[in-house]
Amino acid sequence: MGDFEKELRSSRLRLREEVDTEKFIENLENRIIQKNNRQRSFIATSILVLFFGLISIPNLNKEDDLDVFYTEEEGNYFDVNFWTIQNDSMVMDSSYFEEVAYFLVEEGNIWETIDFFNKISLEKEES
Amino acid sequence: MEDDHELIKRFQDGDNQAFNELVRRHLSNTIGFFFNITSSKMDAEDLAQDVFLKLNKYLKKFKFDSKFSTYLYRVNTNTANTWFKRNKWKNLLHLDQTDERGERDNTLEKSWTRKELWNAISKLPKKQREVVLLRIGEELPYKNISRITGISIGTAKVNFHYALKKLKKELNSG
Repeated sequence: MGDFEKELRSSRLRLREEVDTEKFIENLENRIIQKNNRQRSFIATSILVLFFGLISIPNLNKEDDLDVFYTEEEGNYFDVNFWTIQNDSMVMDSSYFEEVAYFLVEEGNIWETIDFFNKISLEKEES
Repeated sequence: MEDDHELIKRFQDGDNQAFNELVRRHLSNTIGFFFNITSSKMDAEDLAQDVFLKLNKYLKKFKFDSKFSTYLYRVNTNTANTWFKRNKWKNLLHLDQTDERGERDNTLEKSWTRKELWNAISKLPKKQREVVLLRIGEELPYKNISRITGISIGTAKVNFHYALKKLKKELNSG
């Protein structure tokens, strides 16, 4: 054995303190229980994930049979040219004018009725 | 008194007290093994806990083709290797604050400290480190080292020779 090897061996540390064996075993037993519990919960979780995974496999290729809540008529929306639109969205037809005229007459506003008709005729001329 | 193999058989049959008896029997040696490396009683106890926790799992499949002490040394050296790896980072980050408690076997004048020695040992290749751990730390004969590490006696001797050469160079240069 060389001197250097002797030197190395001489640097060896020896534990002189007493080790509390029973406390060590108690701690060890606790760690074993914790480890087993962790292992059990991991297995249970894995089984659950596997179970739900398996029961969801048949649904993967199934077509959606959801109710359709949208209109399939697209023409009206795409045909409107919003840049050249002249009127408000409210369509004013003849029945509307008649109803307004009757209302004004019933209310006794003769001049306003005349004024209303003048406006209509003016609008017609402009368009 | 039952031998280790009988205790392991009982443990394999579900008797946990047999395992505790095994722990009682080998605890001080195991803690001593790690105390020599870590210089800290607390670290040594933690590592010993890791060892016996592993044994609690692996002994259920123990095949009785070797002595339990050989098997235990194998687990100890593997655990020490993991500790060395972990400690490399600790040393790099200067987190290692272990002091130099404990007593030396004799008081030879040395130009290096224990910390420097174990830093140098941690830098050795795995096989060389294992041989040094068992030869210097445990003073085991090459025959036993060969059994524990799974290499031939000749290879163990060569590994030890190269390890000493490297350690000498490392310690004398520092």
